Amino acid sequence: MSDISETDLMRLADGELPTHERLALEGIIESNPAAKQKLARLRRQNELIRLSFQEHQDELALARLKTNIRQQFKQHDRRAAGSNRAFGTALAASVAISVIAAVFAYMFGVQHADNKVDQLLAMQAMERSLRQETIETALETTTGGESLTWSSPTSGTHGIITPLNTFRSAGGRFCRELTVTTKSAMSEEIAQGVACRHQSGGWTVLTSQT
Amino acid sequence: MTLDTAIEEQMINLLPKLRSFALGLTGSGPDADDLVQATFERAIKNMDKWIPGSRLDSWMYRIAQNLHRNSIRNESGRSRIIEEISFNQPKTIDGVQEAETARTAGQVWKRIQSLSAEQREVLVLICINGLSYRETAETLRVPIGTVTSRLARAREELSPIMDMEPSFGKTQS
Repeated sequence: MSDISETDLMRLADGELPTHERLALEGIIESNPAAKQKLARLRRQNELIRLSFQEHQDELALARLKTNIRQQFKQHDRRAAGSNRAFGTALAASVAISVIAAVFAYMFGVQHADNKVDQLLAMQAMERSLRQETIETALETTTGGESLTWSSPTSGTHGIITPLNTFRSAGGRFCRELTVTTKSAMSEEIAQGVACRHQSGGWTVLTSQT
Repeated sequence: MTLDTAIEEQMINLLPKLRSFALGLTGSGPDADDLVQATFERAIKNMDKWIPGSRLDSWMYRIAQNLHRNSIRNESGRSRIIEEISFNQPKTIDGVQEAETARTAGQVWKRIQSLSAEQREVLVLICINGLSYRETAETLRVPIGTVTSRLARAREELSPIMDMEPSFGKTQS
């Protein structure tokens, strides 16, 4: 091992050498069993380092990070864009809320308003469970990109569930990306997420509103 | 200022590599996720400090590196128990050899956690994220000779584990 330095071997194993140097060195190593063994060892070491990291790569964690970071971008953009309009928006919102509140109070009286709230909550709960059922059915039965819809008979609120690609997490679980769109008379929400099947057969769904 | 969508996409695309880097620095998935999240928060807030045309990945690696160094300083002495990770789930038919490799990879992982932060930074950028020695030197703002020697020392530390593998045992030279 007099003519080949450890650093040269390391640079060779790491793909640092330009082609002509690489070929020349490989030629010398071919007739030097000790160097050959050292190079094989370095390459194996590189492989083991990569393997050791692979075991810790977690698609679910990555997907979760991706959703969180997209959220951060949105918040940042909203804050930047909203700073000029903030006062106008706040004023408009407070006027609108006052008007709605006054109309409610006038039409139904305070007690009736309480009932209304209960009804609204019950309706929302029903919509949530309809949506949940549709998500589970969609995850079980659709192919990537195919959608299932649900619709509330009382409020007209409806939604579209679209599972996308399927992948296996680092822990070996089946996961699917999905989008969940919910439309009501007042708003439209689009959430993106990841669902992974847990051991008992059900799904854990992580979504983030966009 | 609102961020350019193209830059947002570029940043998102860096996510897997930043997570590997963070994993190398922290040694645990949840800690790595926290560090990546904090890195993006910092990057988004300080986007005006990034010089367009310069490497976005290097800039973000440096943010992660700084955040990690500060967090170690705040921890008043780092003493983390590195969890025993089970690397015993063979994935191919040749289960025995696969399990052996997985076990060795587990040992490598543990040994990597005992390296210095400087050594781990270099090791991840080169061996996992595929940066060249020069790119690594530019990213970490150290001379290329420093990169080479940190890498060589890290490899030396990992070397005894290689002796566990019969076909790669130490040679007499």
